[in-house]
Amino acid sequence: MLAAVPVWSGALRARHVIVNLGEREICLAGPPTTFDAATIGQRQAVVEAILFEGWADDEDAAHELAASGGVVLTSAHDRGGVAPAGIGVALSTPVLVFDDRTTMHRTWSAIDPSATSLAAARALEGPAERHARRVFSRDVLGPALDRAVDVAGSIELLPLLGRALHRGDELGVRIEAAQSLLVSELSRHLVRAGLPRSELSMVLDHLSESPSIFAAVARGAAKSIAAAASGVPGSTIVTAMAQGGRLFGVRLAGLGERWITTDLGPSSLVDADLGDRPIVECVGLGAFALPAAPAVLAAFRGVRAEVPEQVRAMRSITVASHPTWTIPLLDFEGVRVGIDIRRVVETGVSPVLSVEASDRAQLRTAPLDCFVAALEAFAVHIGVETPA
Amino acid sequence: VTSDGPRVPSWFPDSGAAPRTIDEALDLVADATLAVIGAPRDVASIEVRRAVERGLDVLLVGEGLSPEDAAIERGFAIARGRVVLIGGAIVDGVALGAASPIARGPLGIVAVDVPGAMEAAAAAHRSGVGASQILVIGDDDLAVGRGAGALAAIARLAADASTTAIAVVGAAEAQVARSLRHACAETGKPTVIVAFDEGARRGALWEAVATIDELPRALARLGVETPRGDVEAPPASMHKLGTIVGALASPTLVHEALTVWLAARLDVASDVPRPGVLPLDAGGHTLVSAMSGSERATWLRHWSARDDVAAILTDLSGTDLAGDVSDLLDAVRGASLSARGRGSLTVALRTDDAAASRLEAELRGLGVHVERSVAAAARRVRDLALGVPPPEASSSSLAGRPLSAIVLAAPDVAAQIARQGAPVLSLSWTAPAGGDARIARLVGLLR
Repeated sequence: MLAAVPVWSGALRARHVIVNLGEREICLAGPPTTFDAATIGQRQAVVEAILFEGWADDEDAAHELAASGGVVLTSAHDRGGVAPAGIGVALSTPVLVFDDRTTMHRTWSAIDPSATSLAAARALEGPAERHARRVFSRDVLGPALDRAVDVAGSIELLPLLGRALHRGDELGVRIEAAQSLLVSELSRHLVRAGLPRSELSMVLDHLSESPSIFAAVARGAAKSIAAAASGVPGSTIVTAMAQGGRLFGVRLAGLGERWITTDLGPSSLVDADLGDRPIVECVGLGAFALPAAPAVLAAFRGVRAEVPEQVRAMRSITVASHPTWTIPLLDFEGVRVGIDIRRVVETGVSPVLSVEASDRAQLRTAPLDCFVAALEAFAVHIGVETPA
Repeated sequence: VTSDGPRVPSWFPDSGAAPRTIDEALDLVADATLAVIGAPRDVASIEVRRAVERGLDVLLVGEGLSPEDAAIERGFAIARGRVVLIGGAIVDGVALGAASPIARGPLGIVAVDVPGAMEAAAAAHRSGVGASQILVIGDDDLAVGRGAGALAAIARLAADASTTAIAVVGAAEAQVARSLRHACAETGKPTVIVAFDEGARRGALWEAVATIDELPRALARLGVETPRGDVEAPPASMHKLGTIVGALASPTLVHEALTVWLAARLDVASDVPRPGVLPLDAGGHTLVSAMSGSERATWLRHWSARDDVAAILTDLSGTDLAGDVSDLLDAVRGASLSARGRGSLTVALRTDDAAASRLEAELRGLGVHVERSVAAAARRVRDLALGVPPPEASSSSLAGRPLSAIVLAAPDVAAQIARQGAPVLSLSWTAPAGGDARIARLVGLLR
């Protein structure tokens, strides 16, 4: 992970990025699921994707199509990318493309077309408004970003995200500094890309108003870094954590693309769905980098006294400090990278995850039993334990 | 921002907070030597393994391990050059666990349990012999087919410079007892085995006795100084590594050296009359008075040509004539060369003038040990006769560096160590896998 050098390479429709993407395939955040097992939110994402692709004429027909097995649901992680909760990625969905210069591995991150990345605020948007934003993302924003990145050649993300950490982002729920830096970087490339004036204006307005594109960049960079560790035999490092409805799952470097999941129970239906957002914690960002974000910290002060200790405890379950992503407040100590399930299970300390809520940032703890199950599965995989 | 730099808010994570695991603790105290583990029995193995893998000796307190697990973990530790101690210990003079502080001294004790170890320490102390290290290896170690822990502990004491004599306390199964005797004979140090059987046995450097109260006499018979002991005279022949000899500038200096050598129960011949001293023609260990440097040079040349001489003592002072000094240095060069590989030369440099430093440097350059008093030089040569490595040849601590402990689930022991002034780091420990033994075992396997 520490050797990965992720760069943003473009923005393309999913059909041009995801290898062998099925004609009726929809990638969702989180571990693999089925339409029957999906929550209302996940089903809504599927239905909207079906309508957006034109595979059905109305919501009822879309629901019928999905329920009858007319679409294939897959995990975005399994298809080499990440997606926010509530978004179904299909053929024409615009995704940001990332390359790791070390492994030459390509990953992608789906854009949340909403003006806000807040799930609660997004829920207030009507179907027509959401559809219009998806169209804008596909037809205007995506191509514009692709041309801007093409003009730039590519955009190196390690230094950019490192600067954002130094400017008060933890890159999970607070991405304002990264937004500022990227808008500054992208603006000149967008101008040079020769976009029509009206499109340029709309794109710049969107970039300035919506942080979701930068959340997608942070997730994409994290996915690119985590993917560098995937498939390392014998490794117990976590390469993905994700929530999809009631399911929370982890993937380990030594178990390849296999998911180990746990049912979060009914409470997950009340809490915000994390989607693939926890990928950022896998590489030391988000809640792990909370000390970098005083504005987010302020939300906890006097409210949850245990938060500092929860964050500090991440040192106990990780294996390395990042050499360039540092935190000024901690004397430029590197963010902690590489969650080792052995350490998680041994110490009983679960990774903390940042959650964006409507009023303030929240901190959630990943379910420990998922890591215990992963440890057992890994033990069976390498032959030190027999299957139950 | 203060003049001291950025200030971390007080409610923010404190970098000085106690670490949770041994791995984290070692990030803070990389020079730690010992892990004191008080974890419950069903998860202690995991912590023992982790400590050993990270190069630490281990002291188990509290529930410890089952005999079967103890044997496994002991073997794991021994294979990595570490020891697993059970219940208590004294390491580098610091009492740990059930052990009580005692006077420091030259005796290293290996015992199967803490009471036996402390009884042996008390017996030795009554005869004026203090303890350097006490290593308690567990009462299962000397059972059939085992003994690995005792052998490892003996080896550690053999290598410990602060230990010049060894006592092994515990009844051993016959085959294990044979292994112990063999190991004791190879330590190069006087070693007493308190075996609790009737068969007293003796070798050149070791002796087996039946009871702990026989320990002081056995130590004395092996040549260990027992200042307060009513002990027997040692056997006539105490030549461990060879004969030691010395030529000093005056009878007074010879007397001083004789005092040191005779206290070690060595048979010494000399031209200086004194009760208990053999006549010069008796041979063996010898001390002579030779006023001039040339005379001492002659003795050096004579002794350096003899194969049985292991160590030579002489002195050099500011009152020696320049020509004598030159002659003596020539002899020293020759003695040093001829002594190479089978012994050494020690010179007491008794001068404080400006030339002393130059002389010392020159002598050290010749590979000669230099001391600033006759007594110190005599002790050094005496130790060579007893097979004791010179103090500066290795570290004076059990682990090669001073005791520094990481304590896990044993706050009483942490406080005990702190009271004695030794560095200690206590973990904020919780049972692995929340105390689930099966999962904890898996964690251990996956490490």
